[in-house]
Amino acid sequence: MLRSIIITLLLVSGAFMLTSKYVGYPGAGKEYFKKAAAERKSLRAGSGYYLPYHGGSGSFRSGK
Amino acid sequence: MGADDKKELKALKCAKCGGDLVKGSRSHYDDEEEETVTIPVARCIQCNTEYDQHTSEYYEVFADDLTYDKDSTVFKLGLKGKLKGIEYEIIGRLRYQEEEEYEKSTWDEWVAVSEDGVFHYFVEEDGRIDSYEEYIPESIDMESSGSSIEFEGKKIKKSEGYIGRIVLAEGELPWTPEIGEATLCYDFKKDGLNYTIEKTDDEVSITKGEKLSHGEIIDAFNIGGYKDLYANTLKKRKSFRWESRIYLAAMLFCLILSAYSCLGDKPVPGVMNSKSIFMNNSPVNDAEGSVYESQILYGPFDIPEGDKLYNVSVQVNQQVEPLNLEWLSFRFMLVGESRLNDLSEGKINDSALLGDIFENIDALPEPLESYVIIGDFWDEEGRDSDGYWHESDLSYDTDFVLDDAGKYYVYLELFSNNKKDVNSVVFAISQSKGYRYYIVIFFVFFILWGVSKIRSRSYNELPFEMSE
Repeated sequence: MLRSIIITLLLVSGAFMLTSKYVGYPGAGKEYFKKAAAERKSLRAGSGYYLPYHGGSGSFRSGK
Repeated sequence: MGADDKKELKALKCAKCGGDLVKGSRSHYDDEEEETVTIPVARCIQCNTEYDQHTSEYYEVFADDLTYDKDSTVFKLGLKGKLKGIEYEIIGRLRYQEEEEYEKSTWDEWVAVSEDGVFHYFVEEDGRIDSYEEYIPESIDMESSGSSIEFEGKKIKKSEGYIGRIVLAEGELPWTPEIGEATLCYDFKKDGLNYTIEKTDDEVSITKGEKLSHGEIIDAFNIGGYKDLYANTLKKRKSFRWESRIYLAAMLFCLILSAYSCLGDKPVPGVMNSKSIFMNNSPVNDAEGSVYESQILYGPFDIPEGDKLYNVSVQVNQQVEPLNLEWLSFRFMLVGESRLNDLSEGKINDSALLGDIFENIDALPEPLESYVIIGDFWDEEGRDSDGYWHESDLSYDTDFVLDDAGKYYVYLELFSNNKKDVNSVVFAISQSKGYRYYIVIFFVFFILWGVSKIRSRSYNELPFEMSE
């Protein structure tokens, strides 16, 4: 029984810590600037990095 | 019945030609299962006659398959003990197989005789033990109606009866049973007690009984070797039961935490209160054809807290203009006022200048936006092997952590294959708590709960099955 209490406490506190630190979520602001700037530098001139539209990804049934 | 008797029975030959019987199988179409099933049968190697589970020959041939675990039991022949003040000696044993089952479905009847010469039966089935004694009812009518038996005023449906076939007999039994011998049984409860009516060709016998624990049997028959194992088994099962309760409580706690986090979203107010439209359904041509593009700048609005998790939800407002068999792509950019102010050199209210900036936003050496989301909405129909279908995807949402509080704009680009009202795409931003890890550990606790629940019932140090 003690084992299950320890496992429960570890899991709950781990989940609480990950949630409160927002681990695993993408960052906006400085983190995004850094990532986007690096991506732009890595692109060859004139290749562009953004497709302005996708034409709707569509249902899997339509085979798109 | 001794070992020699069993050997003699196993030598039984085909009733038609005297040939040897062997194990075989037969395939036939089963109307209930609606498929072809294969069932075991005994078969004569000479005349090919088949004996199914309704014949004694079948049990002769398959007896080994139905008795391989005959020694996994708490009882043994010759055991002596005292139960509830009465002394007993185990003198014989019968194992029955349920006739309707092709798989092994057996139970053991251990026959004991008491000090005053009365027979007593200990029935062991699926790890449960019931103690039965012969009973003479005040009234019984086996043919009270075509479909039921009347037992002391209680109606027992004949359809609930089942046939048991003897597959093992050993010890000094009060009669001479034969392998494959059939007994029609009715089990029922009355006034909290278990009753069994057993009907053979020759007689009807009735027994009354109650459940016993393995601990009572081990104590009564003083089976010393099992006492510690039994106590350890009970202790461990109790421990697993407590573990399962703790994991169940943890699952509930996770659900409550998730619900609290989910319901605790705080919307950022006024995100769509003011807007500037730079482009409204302008046709854009490329190699794939013509699409319509709109560019709208919403804001500014205030995001009050930094280093927090935010959720953005973008969706088609079907009330403004429904998406009907068409597509619409969007690019959502969150832009900080200070960066926009720097880029426009303080002319942040110059709509034409802002229009130029956003027109060329992809050509800027440094990103202007603090975050970008790209998505598609679509509405489609078609036909496939299941017939007509009509599906759509009209909403998108995502989470991100924004480091700096302050004033922000949202720059929204829309692309569609038809002209669309720019107000048909709406968005909301809310401060959120996040709950994904509580959901993850909820499932971890669910697995742990399941495992400990199973272990609380199945953990066993004893060399026989025990269900209690």
